Amino acid sequence: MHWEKLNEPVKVRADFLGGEITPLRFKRGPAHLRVVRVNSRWKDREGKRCLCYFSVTTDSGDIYQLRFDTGDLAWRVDSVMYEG
Amino acid sequence: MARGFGDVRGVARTPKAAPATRTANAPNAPSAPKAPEAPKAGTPGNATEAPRRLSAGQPWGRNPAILHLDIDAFFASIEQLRNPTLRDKPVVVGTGVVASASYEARPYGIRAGTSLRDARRRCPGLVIIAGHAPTYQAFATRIFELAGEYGPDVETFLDDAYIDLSGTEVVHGHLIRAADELRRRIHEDTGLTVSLGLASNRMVARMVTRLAKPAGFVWLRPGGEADFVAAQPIGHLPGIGYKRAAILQEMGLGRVGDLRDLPRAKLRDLFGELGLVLADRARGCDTRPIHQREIPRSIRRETSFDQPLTSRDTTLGMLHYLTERASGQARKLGVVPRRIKTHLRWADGAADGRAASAGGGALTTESAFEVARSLLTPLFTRRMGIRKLGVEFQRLHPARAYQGELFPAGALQEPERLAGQERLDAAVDDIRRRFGFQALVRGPSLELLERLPSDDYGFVLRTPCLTR
Repeated sequence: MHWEKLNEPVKVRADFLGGEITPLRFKRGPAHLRVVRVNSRWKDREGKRCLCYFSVTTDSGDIYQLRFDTGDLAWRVDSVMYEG
Repeated sequence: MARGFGDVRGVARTPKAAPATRTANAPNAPSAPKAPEAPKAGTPGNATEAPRRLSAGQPWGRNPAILHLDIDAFFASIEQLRNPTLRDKPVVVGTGVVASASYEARPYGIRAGTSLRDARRRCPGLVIIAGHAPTYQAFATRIFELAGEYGPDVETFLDDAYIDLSGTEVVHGHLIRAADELRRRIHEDTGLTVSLGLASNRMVARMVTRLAKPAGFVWLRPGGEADFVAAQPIGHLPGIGYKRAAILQEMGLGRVGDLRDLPRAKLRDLFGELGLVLADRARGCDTRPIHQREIPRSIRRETSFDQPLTSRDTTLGMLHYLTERASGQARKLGVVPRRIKTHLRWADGAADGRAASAGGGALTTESAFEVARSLLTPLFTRRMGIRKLGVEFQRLHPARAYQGELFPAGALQEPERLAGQERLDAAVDDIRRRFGFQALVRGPSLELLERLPSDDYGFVLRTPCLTR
């Protein structure tokens, strides 16, 4: 079981209510994935940028790590969890 | 007022908290997708249980109050948070040896330091994860930030911290309530559980935390330290490892209290100056203050390789990369090393290393690499691949205390060249701060570009320094 690095730009529909960011859906290739659970979230800093990370479980059952960069307001699929 | 072991107050000493599971629907938006379950929230598990016997607490008064905080199964817990399918499964993080084991793995005798081969043998269903140090660092930073809101002095380590709560009753009210609030806030904010121990000095606080694991909070009132410490197994006394414990057990000393009967001179004969420290500790005395460490003991960067390295260029490229990481960290901390060590492990497991003076000059990446390379070259004595390579900066001193060389030893220490290298390092550091470490790759490290994957943090190594 390991995290495979993807680092792909991605379109994410997210909720910013109450100062808290919650990803709801994202589109990876032709697939529209719905976030059914945010497993964990944390923040990191890379220089002046604040990077918000989200480990999410999608309706396909896969676990992705999404990243939101507060510097350029861009989302990326950081990595995906693979079995084996 | 002397109090015994029975006066240790246990609060919520129960197993690890249940995963957070609150469900929230997206408000007033028929077309909006269903909101996912909230991440950190939620169900207050055992870690957030109200403390028992709170009313029995008395003000701490003018006595010192030191809170020890220990993150439970740190790396493994984070992996279980990131991947819910791992919850309730035995999980270890590490490569080569276990750096962190979940509580589910511990009944199999798996602990930090156990070799992965041995761990697999003990637990065939074990999940092994290589780990990701920057993620763990982000969680630790957040937890220590929260701890900093409760005490003016916080001394942090990898996965634990000491917080000086002395005199903060004026601010927080009851200390036990404040500590329990910190424990609850950490759980709500990060999803992780911590164990807390509160006592009148750092050594006893740390020993008390052992009783609180996992996810508990235990405190010992001032005055009960000596009796509490005396009742503990001798191996639990800080400063007594496996070897010293074995020596003492051979002498028939099983409890810390047995140490008190030994003359101090005898302890000094056995363990040198440490023996005198142990004599004090056996009486529950520890006067070390809590302070934020400004200068670490050393800066070490190392990694191992899936396939032993046989190419000289790749080895030097990796050494350059590791040296660059170490020197960048040294500049960030404002320190310079007086000594640099290069070490390696051959494919057959034999280890070798050399250390030398850093030259006494200012630290630049190139000057540090020159020293590290000069140490590595004589180590190439065998026709064998290298399994592990590392560089360590030792004897660190504040950079501001540095006095330049009156007679530069080599070309790299010539003032003009040195000034140029320092400006270059500053510019590179600045670019990396803004755009990520991998925005620039320098010198011999270029050799690694087509051999190793990379991300914003740099090259993805097989065994990044999880424990440093």
